[in-house]
Amino acid sequence: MSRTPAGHRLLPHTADVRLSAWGPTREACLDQAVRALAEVFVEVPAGVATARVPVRLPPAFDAELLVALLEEVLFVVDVRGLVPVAARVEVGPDGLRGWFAAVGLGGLEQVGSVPKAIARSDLEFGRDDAGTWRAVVTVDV
Amino acid sequence: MSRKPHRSGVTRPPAPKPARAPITLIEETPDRWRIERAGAMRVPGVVFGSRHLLPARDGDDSLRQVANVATLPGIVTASFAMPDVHWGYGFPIGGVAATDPAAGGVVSPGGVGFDISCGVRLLTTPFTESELRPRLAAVMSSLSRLVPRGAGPGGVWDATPAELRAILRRGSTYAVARGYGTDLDLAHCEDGGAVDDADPSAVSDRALQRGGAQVGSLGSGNHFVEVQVVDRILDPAAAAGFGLAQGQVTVMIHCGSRGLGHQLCSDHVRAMQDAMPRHGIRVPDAQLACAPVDSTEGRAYLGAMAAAANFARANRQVLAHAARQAFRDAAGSGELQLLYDVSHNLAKLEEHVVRAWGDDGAGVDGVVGTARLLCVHRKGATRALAPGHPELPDDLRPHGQPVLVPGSMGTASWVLAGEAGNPAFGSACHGAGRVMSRHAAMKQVSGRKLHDELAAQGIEVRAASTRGLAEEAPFAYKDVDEVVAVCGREGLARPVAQLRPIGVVKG
Repeated sequence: MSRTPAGHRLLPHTADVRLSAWGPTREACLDQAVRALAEVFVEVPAGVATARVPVRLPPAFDAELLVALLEEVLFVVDVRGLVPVAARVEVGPDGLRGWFAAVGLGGLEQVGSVPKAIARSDLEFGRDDAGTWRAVVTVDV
Repeated sequence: MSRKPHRSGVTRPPAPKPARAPITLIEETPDRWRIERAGAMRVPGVVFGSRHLLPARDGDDSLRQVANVATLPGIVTASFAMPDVHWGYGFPIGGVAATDPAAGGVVSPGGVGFDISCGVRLLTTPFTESELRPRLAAVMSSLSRLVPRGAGPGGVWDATPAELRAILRRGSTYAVARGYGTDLDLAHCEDGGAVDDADPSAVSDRALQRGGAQVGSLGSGNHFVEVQVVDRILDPAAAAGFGLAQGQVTVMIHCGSRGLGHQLCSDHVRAMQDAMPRHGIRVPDAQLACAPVDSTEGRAYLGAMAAAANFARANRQVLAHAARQAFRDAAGSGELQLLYDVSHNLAKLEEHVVRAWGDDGAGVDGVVGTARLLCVHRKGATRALAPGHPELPDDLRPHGQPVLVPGSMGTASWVLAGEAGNPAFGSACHGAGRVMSRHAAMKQVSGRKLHDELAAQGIEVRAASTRGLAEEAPFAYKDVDEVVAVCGREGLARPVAQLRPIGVVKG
């Protein structure tokens, strides 16, 4: 397992947003991608989450799993009015299962355009030569 | 980066990508450029734009995207880019591509975009600027209160599942039948306010869940309701025909199909990704996933897309109703006449004569010079029907279809008119076109400062997020006046009137 700490940042893109996430495990990287997606449009103070939203996804190739998890975030925002700000998930032969830590929209300050969807252009998710899991995703806003 | 298989190992690895063709840009006129056919490109790329408007070589990959679109099966004539072209995903934003279904031509959800039938509606008011000024702040506050916007659920109309299904089938016609507007509105909507052949059964439950609570909502990003003034008239006859007079106040609404459209696009991109190997299709960008128009997946997408388009039309119809109410409450008259409603993210089956571009082939043998039923993708491009077109209502027909072009926040918007002989399958620009990332824009100005600067120009701003306002700073966009001028010079559409904003409600 890589010793690289987990993290994320937003990259410039002319019309949309590119987010970059990394972590020592697949699950840690997915968590960071969810955190980055929230920060595209809301300010997330530490310890703000007040709700748990279960998430379960069918087995898929890694890149598809990443897209599906981030799409699930957008679904929860649109339908439940909750913003997932972190993900505690496990990936196994049966797919992904776990939960989002989430907070109501009313409790957050909107600081940017709300993401619409996850694009597949130049999508990256995998382990680099040093063993660190890295994801790069274009988000339509 | 290594792509180690998922440990559950149940799905296939991504298909190998075709080699990237080198880009060669050739000046055809000072406002038009050709990307020579190379590699897997089936037709050339054609980019409209003055040298100043061309995408930057660094940090904007839209010319590559124009070339990628030219590889789609069945594409004819050229892969076009409008003068406001900028970097998207899959298709460039500002891209136009027509495929021939009878020759295996494909439909690509990426050629429409996530925000299906996003578009613009323009209403005229009975007020002049000087008449409205004393009541402008009250009108803007009323609009701000009545127009749901930003993230999450919440719309003017909390539609039941049965109502939502009716919206998907009947679009604005159902909204009008339920009291959100009049039959006069429908005559001035593209397609009479509803797209035929909508198939709500091809819309997933997830999409329905996202859409049910968002009927009559603005969303976010560059979507807005703007109060504007007719500042300059370039074509007096067409302006009069459109009901526009110098100094008149107008209302422009820019929004789309909200979470329903976004979800639906995602669903069908995934389905087409899975189906492409079966159809023997490979694409250079995963977001260009596509299927033949005449296939199970192609038909399913077009039926679902039509349903989402109807959602978008109803959404703008309901928001127009809210605007009328705001003017009635705060200005004493809600007599807002719909000038036109037109989308700029859509695929349509339309008849066009296929031509070869320059000396190049047209992509499909034996069709040059013949009228064909084509699948025309417009992603960030506006349909622009020529004068006399039978689909236009009687009062607009002599002048051509109104092409509504929203500018960036605080800058002019435009009304253009369709022209005969349009070289890009009857298409024109859709906006200013971004040149700067949201991140970079926010580094250059704070939302508060921008808000104050707009106020100093006499523009009342009501934003869902003051900090987020900076993302839409005018300097993050191309010069919309130049974009419109190129459209005029290249015969894409004829400039009719320039509109100056005096109030903005931002998502």
